[in-house]
Amino acid sequence: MATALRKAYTPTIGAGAGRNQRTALPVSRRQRKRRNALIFRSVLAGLLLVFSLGYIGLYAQVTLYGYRRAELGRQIRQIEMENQALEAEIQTLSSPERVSALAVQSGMKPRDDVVYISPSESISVALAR
Amino acid sequence: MTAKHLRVLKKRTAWLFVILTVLYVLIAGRLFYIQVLNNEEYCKLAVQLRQRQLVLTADRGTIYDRVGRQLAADIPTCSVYVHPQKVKDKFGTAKQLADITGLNEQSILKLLMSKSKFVYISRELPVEVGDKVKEANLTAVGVIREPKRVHPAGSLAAHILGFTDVDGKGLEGIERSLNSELTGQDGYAIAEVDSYGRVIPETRRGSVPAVDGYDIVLTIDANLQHITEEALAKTFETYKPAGATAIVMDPHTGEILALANCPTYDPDNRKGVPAGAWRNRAVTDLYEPGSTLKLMTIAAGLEEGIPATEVVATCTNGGMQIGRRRVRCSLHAPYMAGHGGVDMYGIIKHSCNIGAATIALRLGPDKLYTYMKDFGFLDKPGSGMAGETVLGLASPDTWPAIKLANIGFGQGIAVSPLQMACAYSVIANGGELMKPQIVREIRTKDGRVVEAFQPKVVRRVVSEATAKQAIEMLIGCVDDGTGKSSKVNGYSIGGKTGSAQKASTTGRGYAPGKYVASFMGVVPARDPKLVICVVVDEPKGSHWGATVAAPVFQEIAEKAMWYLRVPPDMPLEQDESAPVGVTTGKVKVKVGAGHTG
Repeated sequence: MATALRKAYTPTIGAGAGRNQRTALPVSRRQRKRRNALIFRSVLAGLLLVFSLGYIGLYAQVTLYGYRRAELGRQIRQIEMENQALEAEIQTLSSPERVSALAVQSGMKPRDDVVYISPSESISVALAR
Repeated sequence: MTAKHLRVLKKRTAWLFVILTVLYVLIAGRLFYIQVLNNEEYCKLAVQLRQRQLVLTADRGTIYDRVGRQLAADIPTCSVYVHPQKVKDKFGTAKQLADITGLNEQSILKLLMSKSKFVYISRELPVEVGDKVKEANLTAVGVIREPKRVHPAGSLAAHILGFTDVDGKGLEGIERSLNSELTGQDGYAIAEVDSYGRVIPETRRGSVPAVDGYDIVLTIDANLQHITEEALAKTFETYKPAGATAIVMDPHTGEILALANCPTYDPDNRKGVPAGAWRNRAVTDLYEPGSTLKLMTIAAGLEEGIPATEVVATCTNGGMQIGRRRVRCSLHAPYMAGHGGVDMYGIIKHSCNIGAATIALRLGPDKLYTYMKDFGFLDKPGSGMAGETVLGLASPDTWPAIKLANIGFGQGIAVSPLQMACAYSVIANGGELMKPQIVREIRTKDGRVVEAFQPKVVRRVVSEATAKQAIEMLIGCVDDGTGKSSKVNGYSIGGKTGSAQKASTTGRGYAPGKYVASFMGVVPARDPKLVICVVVDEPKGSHWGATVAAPVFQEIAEKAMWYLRVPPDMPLEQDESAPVGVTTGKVKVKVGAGHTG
């Protein structure tokens, strides 16, 4: 069966070909040219399609990266602003007024028993109060 | 198909043809109208739909003290806005917004009922609140991020810094005078947006970048400022004056290290604060300086060759007759009968009006006028602070003798506390007037210095020898005269008290019971590091400079010397309970060359 099928679909060229056998028509030069041109155009169209799809894909990728970059830029800006707020909070917490108030709350008071020493740290200049 | 049917069909076909032709003509006409006649408008509409002009907001500069502590800065906040006409469920929206923001529901509803196209529900809300509003996704309600000006040190240096409005425009203080430097310039860019309104990357064009505002570095030191404000607040509390001012200045550079005013306010919370409290009295308010101005008269006399030790006048309790007027001294025990024969040292020590008036009369109006001008009393100081005021003097040709005498002891002339501090700086700086400075540097956000302000000598007013003699007179005033209450243990102090009557608001004479108490001092007097000026306007209970103002000087000077690590230049008075040489458990302070940050 398989052999019969193979036979049936094997193109036979030249004289003596049976009635039931498929006869390959002689391919003229023009036809060949036309076929080649068709193949060429198809390949060209295929390439163009691939190139276009590639281009679109890349462009989409670039756009996505652009969105990502914009988002990251926004996040950086937000973090910078948060930093500013935190910096301001640090300054608030370390402001002289607050430190002074905390010192008083903690029961601290200015020292009144300070010894002044000279820059060489060897001679006691005087004793305050 | 009958002939009748064919006729009907033909007729209908003809009508269809006519209708279609008309429709085509209409469409063609419309297209002609859109694409040819009105193309510009539609082009504009198309551009509007896909293009956005993005405003690139410039950051406002930060204000720092001389050692880099932030005094005014921007922090991010959120503002909630609404397009009232697009809100369908106004009651529901108002309730939700009230729940999230904590604002009054009725006031929000009132805004939603507004006929405006755009209204702010609230501005400068915390970022977290703004995020919650965004999450709620309410129709026609939007959130934008906006910077808010804050003052991390609270009310510290409020009068110097000033404040901005909600749009970040400087209204008072440095924020106002240097608004253009602080503001910067917004930039813009044009970009296309997608259907979500997001900017399509790589479509940005015609971009003009934002130029951030410059940072400002002030000459003030936050710690010295705190010391000054604290000391001034005490006297404000005790004597309940109408106002008070203290200035701490480096006499060699003209840099203002601290400047405090009372009453004060918190720039971040100005609700209910009277506008008068915003005023920087140190530069805006003029007062008759009284006795503190005698030093300038004396310096002028010295410069013009009057010997310091010459007895220039004899002060009696009867005063001195000048024309139809009589000049008197304020006499206290043990000088109830007058100060007697006084030389220049005596005039400063006892604050003798008659002596100062005599010197003024000897100088004459032209010379005294010239010296007053040279000391800077007739010009704006040019410190860079907003609102500097100056009151001119009439031409000396028109001065009657009594006016000349009055100016000699500080009446009949009005000056600002800053002018007075500058004039005392002349004496402390060996006779040269320095331009007062509040701004040290202007720099970019990344620290590049755009402009650095160097100390500037305005002019030489008196010779170094005259300045030295004047300093000795000031020391005498503190050691044995009216300024004893300004003494600081371990430091030579030179200073002068002032207790001047206030001019009547009617324009004639003086207001009874209204005084300005002041004290101008130099510390350490023999190697001046600081000039401190204290002015207290209309104190209650006492009006003497020695009682009201000198203790403020004393507290500022003592703490400032510690803070600046200026070595004592005088023997310290010993505490009997603490024997000399015992150092166990003591705090050692290494002293060296004084610095100002």
